[in-house]
Amino acid sequence: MKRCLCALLAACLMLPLAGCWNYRGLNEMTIVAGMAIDEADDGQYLMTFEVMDLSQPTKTEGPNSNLVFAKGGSILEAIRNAKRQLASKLYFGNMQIMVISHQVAEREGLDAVLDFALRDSEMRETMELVVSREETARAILSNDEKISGAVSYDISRIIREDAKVTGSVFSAQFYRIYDDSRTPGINVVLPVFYLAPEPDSDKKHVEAYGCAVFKGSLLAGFFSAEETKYLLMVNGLLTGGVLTFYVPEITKNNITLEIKKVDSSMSYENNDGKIAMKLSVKINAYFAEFPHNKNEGNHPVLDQVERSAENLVREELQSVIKKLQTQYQSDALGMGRLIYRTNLPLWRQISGRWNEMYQTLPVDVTVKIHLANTAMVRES
Amino acid sequence: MWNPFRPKQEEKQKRIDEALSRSTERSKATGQSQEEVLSPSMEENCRRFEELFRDNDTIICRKIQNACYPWLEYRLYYSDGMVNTSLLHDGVLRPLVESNEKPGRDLAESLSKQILTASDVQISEKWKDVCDGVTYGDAILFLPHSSRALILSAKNFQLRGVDEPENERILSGPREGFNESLLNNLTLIRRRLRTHDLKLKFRTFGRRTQTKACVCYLDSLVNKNILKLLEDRLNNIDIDGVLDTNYLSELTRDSALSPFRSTGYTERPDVVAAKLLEGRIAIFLDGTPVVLTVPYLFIENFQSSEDYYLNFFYTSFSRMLRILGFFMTITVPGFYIAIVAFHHEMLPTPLLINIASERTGVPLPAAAEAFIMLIVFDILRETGVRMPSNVGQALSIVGALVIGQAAVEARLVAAPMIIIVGITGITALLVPRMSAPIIFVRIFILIGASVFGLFGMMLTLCTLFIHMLNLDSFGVSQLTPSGKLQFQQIKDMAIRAPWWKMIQLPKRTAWSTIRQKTPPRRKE
Amino acid sequence: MKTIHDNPVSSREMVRMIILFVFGSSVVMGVNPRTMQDAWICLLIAAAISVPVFFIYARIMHLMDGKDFFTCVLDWFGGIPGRIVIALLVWYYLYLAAVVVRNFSEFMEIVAMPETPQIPMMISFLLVSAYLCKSRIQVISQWSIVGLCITVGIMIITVLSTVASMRPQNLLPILEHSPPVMMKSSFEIFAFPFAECVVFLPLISAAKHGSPYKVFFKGLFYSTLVLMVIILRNVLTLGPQLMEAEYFPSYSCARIMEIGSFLSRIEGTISINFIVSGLTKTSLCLYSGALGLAKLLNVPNKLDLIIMPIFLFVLMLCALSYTDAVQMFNFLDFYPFYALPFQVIVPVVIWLVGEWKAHSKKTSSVQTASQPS
Repeated sequence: MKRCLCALLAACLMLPLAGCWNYRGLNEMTIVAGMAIDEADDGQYLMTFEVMDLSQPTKTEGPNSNLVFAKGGSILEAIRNAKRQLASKLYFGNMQIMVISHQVAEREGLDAVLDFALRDSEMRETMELVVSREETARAILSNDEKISGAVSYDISRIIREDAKVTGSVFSAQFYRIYDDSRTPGINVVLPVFYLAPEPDSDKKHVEAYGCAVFKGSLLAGFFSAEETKYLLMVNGLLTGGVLTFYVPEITKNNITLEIKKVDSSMSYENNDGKIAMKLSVKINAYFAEFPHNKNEGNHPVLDQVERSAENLVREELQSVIKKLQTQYQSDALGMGRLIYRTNLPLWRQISGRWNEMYQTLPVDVTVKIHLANTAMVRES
Repeated sequence: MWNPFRPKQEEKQKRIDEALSRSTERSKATGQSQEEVLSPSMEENCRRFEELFRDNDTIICRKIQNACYPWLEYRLYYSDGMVNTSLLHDGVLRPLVESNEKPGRDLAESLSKQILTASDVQISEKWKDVCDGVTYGDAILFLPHSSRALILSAKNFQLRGVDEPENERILSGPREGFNESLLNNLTLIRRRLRTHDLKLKFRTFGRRTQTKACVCYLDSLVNKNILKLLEDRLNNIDIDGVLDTNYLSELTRDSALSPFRSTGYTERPDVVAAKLLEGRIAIFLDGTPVVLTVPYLFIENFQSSEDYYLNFFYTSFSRMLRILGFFMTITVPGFYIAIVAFHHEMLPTPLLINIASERTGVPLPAAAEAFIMLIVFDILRETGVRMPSNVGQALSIVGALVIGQAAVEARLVAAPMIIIVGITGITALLVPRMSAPIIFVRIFILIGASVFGLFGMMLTLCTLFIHMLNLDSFGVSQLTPSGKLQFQQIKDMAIRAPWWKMIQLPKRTAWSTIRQKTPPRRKE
Repeated sequence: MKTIHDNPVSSREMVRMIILFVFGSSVVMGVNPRTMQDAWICLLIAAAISVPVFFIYARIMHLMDGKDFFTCVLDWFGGIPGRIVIALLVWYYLYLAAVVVRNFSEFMEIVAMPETPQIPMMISFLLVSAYLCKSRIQVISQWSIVGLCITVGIMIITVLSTVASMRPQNLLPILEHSPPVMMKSSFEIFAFPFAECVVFLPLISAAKHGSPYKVFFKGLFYSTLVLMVIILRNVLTLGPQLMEAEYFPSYSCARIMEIGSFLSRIEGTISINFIVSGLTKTSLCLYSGALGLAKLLNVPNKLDLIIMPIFLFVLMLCALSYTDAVQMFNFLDFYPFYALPFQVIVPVVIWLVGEWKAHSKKTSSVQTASQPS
């Protein structure tokens, strides 16, 4: 009797071995590289998935991708509806970007996308969210020229390496976006991509446009790539890039400085409820390009170059900040957040009025540029 | 341990007692009982002897008479092929025939002390000694009117030479190995440990085989508790035949069901000498070159004697490589399945796409494939061991390369699986001592990984680790011999510290803990 | 059969077990994130609240002077009241084990394996911890040495890998929340995980050398340190808003982790952390419960006999304790009040009775000493 009971108990305890419920073979899934969210005509979501094509041998040709379209009343419903046309379920573990069209960003905002991406356990929090400057988001994904096998992987690499090279987009991973959208005193900034035409042909390729500034969860406006560079300088996000400017006294060509390090600090002064912001930017740069005719004189140019560069940066910064304040009315640089973090009682007083105060906030910008070296050619 | 499948103790004991009494009765009938003594009449003894060894045509009977005293008739029995006949000529037969001394009152005593010149003469009255002697290569001399017989040692049988054991080859160091003769093996140890402290105690095992064994230890170093425990367990062995030390190993185990060993084994005398110097106990068995060492720590699976004959940097690295190899060989198939079937996000995207495209069209799910490929690999390995050498080489190359390649081309198996199985098999060869537990543990982890992914694999690894913590070898915990992890143990466990650092002996296995008084002077 | 007093466990190993135990569920559930970026201040306040409670625990062990805990309780309280006290404690221990296993299986279901039914996960997890429990306290202490090294090592690796995405400004503003909210949060942190060390009351008597005071306070100190590192890492990496919104902030941190540019998305290997600490916590709870139950049923030396029934009982509790995950997370709000009697009131009662007994023994020995021959 004891033996029978023991045998029964052992059999019941082997229940864990009875199946592998979450076993998902690689041939049962469709790997999604990127996703684009559009609005269809009837108000539903139209999703475009860029999926990797596994039927071709990757040894000879490298991976390739296809597009899958699906419609649904919400994001999850559209994803499930995609199974109506696919043999294997969609797999999002390796998805790198999500593209939304600017209509979706203007009309509906980010809430639905943010909530779904963070709640679902398969989607990564390190995905990038991208806004498309074209009419539809899917236009970005439907492109023929791919280097890594999928447009999404190319785009995510462009964004990741951008801050060191050109400084033309903001990097916005989902967990950062969530934090920024909920913290008082700052607004979300997303990267923007568009299809750039190529000269002398009909082909277009995907290129970084700049950034998109949000007010709350709705899209407020766009900045071009050059303007984005100055925005990136403010919070210390820029680690590379070039400054090109024109100093007619020295040479008639454009001079280029390569940015090596940007130290920026933001502070504020409180005069009886009147807030004034102070922004100071210190740039360490290399002298990168100085096309000049040696006959134009051999006088020291470095100080002049520094001063001209400082003037340039200051003017551009002030115009960008003005545009942010007046045209877009969005505190994308985190000035309110600074007050919130450092002076909580003051923030509690002014937080109700902050939106109006921000539009007329005086911002004083000081820029200091230091030329560290002149590369391989001597200059003084 | 609470074992619910054990039948009632009393019933089982009753059955064993009945079987034992039946066999003792039968053996009594054949005269192998312990207590029978010789009879005073030589004819009676000879008749009894010939009745015992009735259909045994190798037994030779030699009747001799002394030249001077014809009434002194002797009968010499020996087993043909097992004795050194020239020794018998010169040491036994010639003195018996030619001696003209009057034998004293006690014939056996005077013969053995004054007349016979053989080197080893024993006097016995028991039939047991007579039978043991003649079956081992001794010659039996029956004396007239005496109930005592003389057992003359004249062993000479063919033995394998002393050459390096195949499974324990090393690059540099001694190349002697044990062979099947107990005395030869003990000689090899004696030459290395020339101290009176070395104790060699004989005992016999097996009712029908009466195999001789020797328990060997250094008296001042050994842990007496372990020695007592070992002797108790050896005394409890009651089996009909013992042919190899593995019988003893399994009969004296601590935990019956564990795949891990609790006694070490080796065929090299330098290894045994080193272990004796650490205070361990060695068990030799006649008829097998494999020697057991007790107690056995888990880390000894990864040690090889070569570690001490080569440079310590190199051997520390090799030792860590072996531990890594053990870990890899048990976890690699499970890890691969867990990643490929459950945690796809861990693969970098290009690799994921490559593997996914390799796996399209393959019929079996990855876990089943892994299982089958591991079994196929074991089949190939096993046939490679048993094959005659001229066929074995070709088969292993054919098996590994061609069949694997053909299977991939025919889309039966995915290409990454071949690589995984190859890695598993090769890292298993780093630790040949653990080939038995590895097979079992690997499948266990593979099953855990197939059911619950990485969580399941971690759970099974934890179970394995808890099991290893529970392992005992003769009262000494295998994984933590002194009860806690100390730097002292790490010195000889994970790395091999240089000789001038090893001042203390490992604590649990020896009483006295000082190995060297002062470290040798290092060159400045 | 070996009893718990056979081979001594050193006090260092006991400290390690305490650290691993406190680390246990917090690895999965995170430390209470209600106060967002001030969570580390609440942690320090909770540690300060725990100091007197740990002092009481250590004093109880000191009064018992090395004897087995449950035997002493029976001696001090008498027959029936003593059994009631032991039964209360045993219920708390076993229910705690069930809650921990349920937490883990819910975690695995939500995060990694949605299609797997929870019963097999619970069975396999509980089986392994029952095996660990059956191997007695010596094996648990050896296991916790290795377990702590692995856990702390992996934690350091995660910290180093997320350093690149850390933002120190996430800690500002400090003290945003009002004192009542902070005190409530501290009280919750005190109840879970600190005061769960009441599980160690029957186990400290296995550590022969070293004072119970040192063991408890060293354990408190190191485990506070470890939890502080976890909280700081979560806040600095995820930001206070996301940390408060998510159920499993430590796991999300691991998802963001990146080593170099090629090794990312390796949060699966963090599961070793969860399993090691969860196993330790469950098996320690099971072990204390088994010891108490053995004393109640009068089979003190045959622990092996009751491990299996306890395993089945705890498995049943696991399945029955909550109906769904939402209920489980909501229970965390209520847990401090449920646990208060077991964590504070019962030990205080035992302490008072112990003091009274010690005092009366001293006075009676003084009386007998002062009596003339």
